[in-house]
Amino acid sequence: MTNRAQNQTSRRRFLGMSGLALGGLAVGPTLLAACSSGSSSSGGSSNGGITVLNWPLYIEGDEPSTSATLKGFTDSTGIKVNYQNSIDGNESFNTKYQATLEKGNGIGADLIVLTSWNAAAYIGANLVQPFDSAAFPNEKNVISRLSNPSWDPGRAKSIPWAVGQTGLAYWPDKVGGKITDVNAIFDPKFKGKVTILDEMRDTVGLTMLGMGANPSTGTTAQMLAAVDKIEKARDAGQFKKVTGNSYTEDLAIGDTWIAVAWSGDVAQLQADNPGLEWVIPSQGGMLWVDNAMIPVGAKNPEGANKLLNYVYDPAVAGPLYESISYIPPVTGATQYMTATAQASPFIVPPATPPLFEFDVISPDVAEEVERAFVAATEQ
Amino acid sequence: MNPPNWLRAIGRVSLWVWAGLGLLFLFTPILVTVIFSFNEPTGKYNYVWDKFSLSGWTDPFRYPELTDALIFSLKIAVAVTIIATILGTLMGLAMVKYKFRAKGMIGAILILPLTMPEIVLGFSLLTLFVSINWSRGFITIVIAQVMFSVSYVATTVRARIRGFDWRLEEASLDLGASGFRTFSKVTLPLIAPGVIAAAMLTFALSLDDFIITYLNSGLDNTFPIQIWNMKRSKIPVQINVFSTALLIISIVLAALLVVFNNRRAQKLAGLSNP
Amino acid sequence: MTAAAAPSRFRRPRREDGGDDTGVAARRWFTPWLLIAPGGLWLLIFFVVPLFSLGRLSLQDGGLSNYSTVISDNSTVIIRTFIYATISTLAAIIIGYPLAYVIATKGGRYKNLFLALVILPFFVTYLVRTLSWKILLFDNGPVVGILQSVGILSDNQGILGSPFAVVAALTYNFLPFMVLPIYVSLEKLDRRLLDAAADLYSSPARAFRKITLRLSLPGLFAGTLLTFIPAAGDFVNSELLGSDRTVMIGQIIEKNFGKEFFRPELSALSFMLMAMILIGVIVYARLLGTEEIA
Repeated sequence: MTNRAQNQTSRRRFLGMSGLALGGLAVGPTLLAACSSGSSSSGGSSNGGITVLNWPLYIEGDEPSTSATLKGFTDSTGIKVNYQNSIDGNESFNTKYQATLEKGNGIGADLIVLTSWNAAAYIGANLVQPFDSAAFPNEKNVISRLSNPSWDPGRAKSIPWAVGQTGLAYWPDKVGGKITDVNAIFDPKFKGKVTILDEMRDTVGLTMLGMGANPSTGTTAQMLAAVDKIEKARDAGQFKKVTGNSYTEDLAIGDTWIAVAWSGDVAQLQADNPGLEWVIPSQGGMLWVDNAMIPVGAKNPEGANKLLNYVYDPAVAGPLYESISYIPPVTGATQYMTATAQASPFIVPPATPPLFEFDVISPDVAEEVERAFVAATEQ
Repeated sequence: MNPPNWLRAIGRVSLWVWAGLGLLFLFTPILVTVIFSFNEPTGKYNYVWDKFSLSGWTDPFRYPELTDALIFSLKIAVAVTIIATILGTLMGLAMVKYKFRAKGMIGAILILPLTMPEIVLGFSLLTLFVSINWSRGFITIVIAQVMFSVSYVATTVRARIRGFDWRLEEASLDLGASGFRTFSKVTLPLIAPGVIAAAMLTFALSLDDFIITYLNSGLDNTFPIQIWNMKRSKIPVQINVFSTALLIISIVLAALLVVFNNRRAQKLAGLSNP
Repeated sequence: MTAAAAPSRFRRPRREDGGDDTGVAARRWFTPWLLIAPGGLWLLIFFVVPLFSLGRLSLQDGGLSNYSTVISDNSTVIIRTFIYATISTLAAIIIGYPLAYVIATKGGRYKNLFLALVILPFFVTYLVRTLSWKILLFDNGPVVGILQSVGILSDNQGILGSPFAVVAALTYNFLPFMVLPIYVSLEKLDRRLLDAAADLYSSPARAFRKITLRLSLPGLFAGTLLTFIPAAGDFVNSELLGSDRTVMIGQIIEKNFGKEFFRPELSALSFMLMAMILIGVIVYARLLGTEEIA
């Protein structure tokens, strides 16, 4: 071979070899890691700790490091809590974790918190484990209204963590006075300044109330009629936006005049914006519950039971729910709250107007209504 | 045939003005970010300017979860950049330099990841991980990000290399240089701008990635995910502080790179003029 | 070659080399494969394989009818998405090409610094950048105030929520993807070619068209791809700055993928999106005369 041809070969060989080597270096460690990884990710469990996945704003100040509840729990039981406020929505949670749980593998959490309709599905699919009544005797303190749902009789596998309301938040100076009618969101006077939620059960539920139907017992036809009303209003430009959690930004700054809103968010906003008004319309509002459950594959279910037991002590629940401005699901908790808290409509809603939980509908009905709702609001 | 000088002058000036406006457009929200790092909002959200204050800068690590998330993101970005730049450059080189069957197919596979919405990309990868029981964490995030970054790198490097005169390599070999020397002294410097640009892009994309990372991560949060989780209760000034700090560090590094390059160019020029 | 046999833009003779006239045949057949192997294997395992499970998912509960249903259900959004992506790509070219040109030809020793400046905005997280735009564009904010007093906006109008806001944000977020590839292909332009053109009495405009533009086509092509494709699949810009009038395909898919019953159709929609973009890219490549895909 000539000198040049030799060099070309060696050059190309080098290029090729180095490519392979670098590639191997890159891919090798990752393959090694795959071979050695176990079936569940690490949790705070090897030292007896627990990992909690919860929604934002469900612990004091939304700062787990300074939460009195978590601190008190760790002090009294020695169990450390790895608390993550990383649940942003039921559906994104499902997308990320459901498949893993369906395989029977753990997700690194000992406690998760999901809204009732989703919790019902998880219980039905056996993705969560039952509580241990020996470790969680305070379970009996759950308030009677929520103590025996059809989808979890006797609260064997789920227990409410946060109980909230869906109503209207509005700026009185922008809308010209007080609002008490839920149909204000359909009033053309406020065209383009109203936001509704993309959470079907909340928006459709309120609309049904405005049409004289009962969301707890309504028929599919009534639900679809409500969706139809929403669609027509949207086509007429009534709504500024159909939003998820992000409605608070526009509302805070006054770009939105009326919003279908969640009570906890409004409590937060009012702290910084005292002019913002909250109302449960005269026709009624929606009541929703986010439920704590122990997923399969949890490394420390006893610790999880103990945390729930701690929270369900009225002396602990009182200050906690006062701080996060939600209805306490624990009987007797209000006695441990300040007078201001007991007068707050977010924590102790008045007897009227009534609050309705959306009916637990079958998956087929849910699909039908959801499809209609998406078509109505996202095209 | 040639336009008069005054028209050409206007053309030149307009070009500069337009380019300057383009740069301004790019930087406007960045300026807002930096300015608002000096804000002290009355509420929990950093939306409205209240008053000038250094409180964010004097207490940047006030939210340990934010700091941890940033460090985590940086580690991931470094790993992803190194791996993706190497893999993508090699692919880009091969695609431009050689003829081979299946080149069209490889080219298509290269851009396909970019055409899929992130949630679908992330979900299908997650499905793979779940089916083989690979637990999610640092490594799965790196894998996911490298997967789409390779396409960016390869595309950018290819744009650079097209039209490259490969006879320069042959000339170098003819002059007796070894394969390795040819690659490092001839090929690499000529493709370097493309590779560096691609690397910078990959680093920034990695820091930024949200959905694919969210689906393929474990319990540790990256910086964007942490911000997303926090923003329901607060948008602290520290987010702006960290972003500004990152910016400043990047500018300093880039400036150093320029100085280094200029020194090298001067040295080489000096060498050729004895 | 006679005039009759001159190949047209769209009909190409079959080639054995993968449809590409760039590159040389390698001395050893396996050399290009060695280079492709690491990246290719990575993509094969972590992209192509998952794609098959996605394909299976898209055929669940309905088979191929999932594809037709989802297209007809979402036709408005699909068309709107492609319009937005096209406009923002064009805008990115209009803003980005001059910027890349100035940096490449007039940047001098500071070229790399300017380049870094172009990428710099990316080091501020997407969310923070978009939030900053929100701060600027709020209805009660400074920008809208100015535009209203000048008369461009009526007193009830804002910017947020409009298609303009979304397209502008798309252009903004993908501008560096346009600038970078154009820059890298312009930067290696041999200035002497332009000198030669001037010597041959060509006008600057003609020289630009025939030399600069032509030689920067690979960069323009790459930049268009890296801008159009993510813009078409984008979700965040319209979600944060738009309204429900500006919904794009990415939002439909992202927001509803969590609903289990929707996943087969949304997977089908993703495949359709992928196919449409791929076809668009091939047509674009043919038109530009660059023969390879990407």
